[in-house]
Formats: sequence, C-alpha cells, structure tokens
Amino acid sequence: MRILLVEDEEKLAQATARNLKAEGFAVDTAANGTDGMELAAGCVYDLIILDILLPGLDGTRLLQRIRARNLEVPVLMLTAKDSVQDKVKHFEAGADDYLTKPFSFAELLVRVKALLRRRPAQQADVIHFGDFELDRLTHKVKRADRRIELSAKEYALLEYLALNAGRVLSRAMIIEHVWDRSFENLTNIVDVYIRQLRTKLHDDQTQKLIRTVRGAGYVFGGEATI
Amino acid sequence: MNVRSIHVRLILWYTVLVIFTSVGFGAYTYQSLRQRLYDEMKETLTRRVEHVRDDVLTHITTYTPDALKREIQDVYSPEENDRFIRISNSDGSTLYVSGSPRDKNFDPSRIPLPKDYTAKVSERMEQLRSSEKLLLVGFITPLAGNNYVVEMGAPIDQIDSALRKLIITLLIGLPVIIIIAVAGGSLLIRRALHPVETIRATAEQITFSNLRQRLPVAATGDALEHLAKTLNQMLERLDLAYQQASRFSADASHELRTPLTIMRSELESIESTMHAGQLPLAIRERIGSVLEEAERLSGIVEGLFAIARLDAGEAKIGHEAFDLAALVRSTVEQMQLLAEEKRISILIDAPGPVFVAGDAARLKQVIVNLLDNAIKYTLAGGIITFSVFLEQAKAILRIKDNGIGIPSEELPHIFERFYRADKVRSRTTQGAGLGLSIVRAICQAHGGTAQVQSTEGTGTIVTIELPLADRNLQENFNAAA
Repeated sequence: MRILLVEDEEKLAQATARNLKAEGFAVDTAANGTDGMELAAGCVYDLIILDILLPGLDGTRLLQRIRARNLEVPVLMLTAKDSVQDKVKHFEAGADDYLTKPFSFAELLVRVKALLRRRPAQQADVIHFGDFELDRLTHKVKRADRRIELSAKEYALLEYLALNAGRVLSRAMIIEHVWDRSFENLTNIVDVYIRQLRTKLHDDQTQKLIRTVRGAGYVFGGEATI
Repeated sequence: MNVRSIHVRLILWYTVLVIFTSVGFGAYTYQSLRQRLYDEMKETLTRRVEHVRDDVLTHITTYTPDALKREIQDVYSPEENDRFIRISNSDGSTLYVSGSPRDKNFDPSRIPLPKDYTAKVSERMEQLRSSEKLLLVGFITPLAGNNYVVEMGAPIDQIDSALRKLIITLLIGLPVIIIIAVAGGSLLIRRALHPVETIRATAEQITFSNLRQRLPVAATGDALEHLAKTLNQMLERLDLAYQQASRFSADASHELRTPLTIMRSELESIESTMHAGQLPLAIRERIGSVLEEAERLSGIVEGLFAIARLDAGEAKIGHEAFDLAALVRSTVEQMQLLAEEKRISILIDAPGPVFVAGDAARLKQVIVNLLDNAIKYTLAGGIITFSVFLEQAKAILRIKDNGIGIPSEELPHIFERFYRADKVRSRTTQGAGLGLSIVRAICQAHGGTAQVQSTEGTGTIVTIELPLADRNLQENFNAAA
C-alpha cells in the first residue's frame, strides 16, 4: 500500500512517515502543495494524507485539484481548524475523513486502515454473525434466538460496530458517528455504552462479540488486525 | 436616599442656596422699606416743622394764645391729620399744643416735653402706651431771649402695619418660591445629569463579550462630551489589549498543536516497538505515563483554543432558531446510560418549546458539559433536574442536582480557566478545569450569561440565560400548537 503524506512540518512528516513505514506502508512525503500535486498526479497512491495549512498551494485547493482530475484516491485531511463549518466544507470538497491536530498516531492509523479497506460496508438489511442477528429495518437484535432489548443509542452503537465488523473503531470515530462532536470530550461515554452492550449481549457461555483493542478502540467480531 | 450621590448633593446645595437667597432678599426688602417709610415720614415732619417755625413762630409775639391756636388749626388742622404739634418754651411753658386726633390713637397731653434744648434739631421716638408710638421732630429757635421749640409728631402705627403686612406676604410667598425653585432645580439637575446616566447605563452593559460597543457621545462641547470621549478611548485600549490577549491564547494554542502531535507520534512509535519486547518494563511504563500527559495536554490546548476563539469573537456562531427544550431532551437521551450507571435519575421540566437564536452544536456542548459535571458530582441514587422556560423575554436553562455541592468560597472562581473545585478528586477526571469556562464562553458569545448557586452537601444549580429567537416565531409556534 502506498501513501502520500503532504505535511509542511518536517518533524511531524518524518515521525508520521516513520510510523506508517513501521506498519508496512510505502510512504512518500511532500513539504508543500505544489510538490504534493506533482506527486499525486505522477504516481498512483492508495491514500493521500493532506495537511490543510500548507505553503504555496493550500490543502483545500490541492484537494479540489485532485478531485478535478478524477482521482478517486481516498483523502484524509489533517488540520488544526476544528470548527464544524470547516469539517462540512472539507467533506464537500471531497475529503473522505478528517483528523484534527494534535492527533494520536493510533487514531491516524485506525482511520488510514478504515479508508484503505473501504470495501462496500455491510449493506444487508440483516447482519448475521454466528448466533447474532441484527435487523436494520426493524431494529431488532437477537442472540441465539433470544430477543435483546436495546435503547436507541445502544442500538445505534451496535449497528455501527456490526456494519464495520472486523475493523477497529477508535473511540473518537465512534463518538463522531454515534453521537456527535459535542460529546468528544466524554471518551468514557463509549466505554460505558460498550459495557452495557456487553452485559446485554454476552453471558458466560457465549462468544465475546465486542473486543477491546488496547490503545486503539473496539472491534466487533472477526479477526481484526491493527 | 444616598446623600453622597452627586444628584442629591447638588439638590441639597441648591436648596440651601435658594433658602439663603430668598431669606436674604426678604430681609433686605423689609429693611429698605422700613427705612424708606421712616425717612419719608421724617422728611414730611421736618418740612412741616420748618413751615410752622417760619410762618408762625417768627410772629409769635403778635399772636394771642387763641389766635395762635386758630392760625395753626386753620393752616395745619393737626387733629384732622392725626398730627401732633406743640410749641413750647425752654423755661417749661407751653404756648400751643394740638388736641386729641380724630382717630384717638394717641393722647397729646401725655407726650413729655423735650429734655434737651441744646440741639438745634432733634428727633425722637415716644412710646406712650403699648400701641401709641410717635415719631417726633423738633426745632429749637432762639427768639427774643427765649428758646422756643416747635415739635411735630405722627403716630408710626401705619408704618408698623405696613411692615407687618410685608412680613406676612414674605412668610407666605418665600416658602412657595423656595419650593418651586427647588422642584424646578431638581428637575434641571436630573436633566443635566441625564447624559451621565446614559453613559453609566451603557458602560454597565459593556463586558468582555461586547467590548466593541462604545458610549454615546453628546456633542455638547463640554466636560460631558470630553468624558464620554475619554471613556471611549479607554474602551478602545481595553478592547485592543483584550484582543491581543485572546489572539495570543489562540496563536499559542495553535502553535502548540504541531509539536504536541509530533511528541505523541514519537512516543507512540516507541510504545509500539516496546510491545515487541525491545524495551524494559520500567521504561515502557514511563513512556505510557508521558503519553497520557501528552494526551491531556492536547485536551487542554483544544479547550483553550476553543475559549480563546470564542472570547476573541472569531468563532462563527450560528444564529438559526431552534427549540432549546428539544435539544435538552435529545442530549439527555444520548447520555442516559452515564447517569444510569450511577443510578442517577434525570428529570426534564420543559412545559413548552423555548426558541433561542444561536448555534445548536455549541449550545449542545454546554448541555453536555453541564450534565457531565452534574453526573460526576452527584452521588449514586441522586436526581438531576433540567428546567427550560421563559423568563422576562429570556430563555432560561437550569440544571439542578442534589450532589455534593461547591464550597461557598470556591463559587466565585468556578468559571475561571483551570479552576478545580476539588483538586484531588478531579485530577482523575478528564479535562483541565476548562469545562465551565467553555460553557461561559459559549453563553457569552451568544449574548447570554451563566450563573451558579450551590450549597455544600445539598446540591448545585447552574442557570443559563440566552436571548430568545425572533418573538414572531415563538408566537407562531404557540398559535400553531
């Protein structure tokens, strides 16, 4: 997998590139928008990580040019701007995900992997996993034919996890999808809801459906790697 | 009444001044009228005495007593005119004395002869009885070896009664004039101080959230205009200083982000290699600890940045109208489990929709922070109550808990940045004491306020006041409902 990292802070670019390489990715770096555009146009990348504040061509304009060339490559934006309006603006410009500085590398890695393995998510109306069954139309959840009663939020969380079965989801990603950014400082809210889900889904005999990935987040079923 | 207020002091001084002036004017009028009346009477009497001396006395030897009496009565008729005339000799004999006046207001026979025959002209006052007082003017005329004295007198009760009437007029008139003058003066002072009141009222409303507002300057060209301008210049400097401070906070937070990200990246890469067993356990633990601190530092930087931007007025605040009660309900529902974990019940008392104009995402942050605090500081089995209602054209959001409360000496500080009510306990909780500062910054950016009341051991009440959305919308909604 080949990643283009466009970041003008040299040390941050080095550290991030080194960490990504340690994870087995091939990484090219560009220190400004113009170089970034040249690289993006010249090579085929599986993912572009793009800082917004760049000398020369800034991240937003670079993203627009990439999209104008019909390059379908997933783009993850890095920025210090953190208002809701900015986020909306960048999604409109064609960014696939968004991460605000200061970010943790684990968070970046989870998002990079999610973007790289962006296969069509589970689209089926009914999700099966062993003796687990989740009906997205009726919002009914069953385990070993036993109906499990969930609150609206618990269901939303479980559906998000189940739709992304096998992928590690960070707490921040869960909050963004199931709650919203107003809750971003309440990282323990995810842990509390996961604990509740586990009590409802598991008993002593059954297979554990939700696993904790240390330092990264949670994963539903499957053999997730990070 | 506040005696030290400039308004009251001016009125008091003014009243004293008016009273002194009026009383002084009254006294002057009285004194000058009195003087004038006496002078006139003296002058008249003197003229007449001279007449008597010239016309009668010079021929005194030619008159018989009867002829003398007739002559004087014909020419001067003293009885008819309430006058007293007497011609006497210094040896004590009286040549002529007028009879009782028609009004009988004095008895001529009781008027003593002059004691002193040395002065050429004399005037004196004779008090006969309590009501009989005469002014007498006498002329001594030496003639044929005798010293004759011609005296003429008139009762002064007319002067006295005229003066009494003046005093009565003054006693009635002066208080009326004083009252009118003081009332009018008070009104004028109030009007004169009105611009000062306007300046005060405006200045009172200026806080850090609307430092760009300026005081009204009345183009009066005097001290007031000068004062307003000077105050405005001061506000200008304050505004600038405040903006610079906010800018600095925002810039500093912004600049801290990149190094923090690098630190975290580097530490995480060390952490990932140590999982492979390349590092001793003690070092791993320390790196983990540094990483945790770096994460907390990130949280602080984010919080500070958010506050700095709100304070500097840089944050974009939406102004769409939405129902605050509905926002409270949906937010509470999303945090329900956090409360349930501690067996805390959350009640919502919102009888109707309350439309506010603002940024729903940011106000949601306010609700989240407040509820998070309430849950943290309420013991298991407690109750948290949200109330949303209208009060005096403001939207009120109140969150009340029966938790541990806040000691009264800490209450004034809890909205301050980095302030922690209980330093030991809250060290373990996330954040850096910025939650309530963010709440207040968001409220102020909306033109609202945040207040807290608390009793230790009983609970805490936080009250948020926000401006309502356009009134029409509210009414339309109520009409539709």
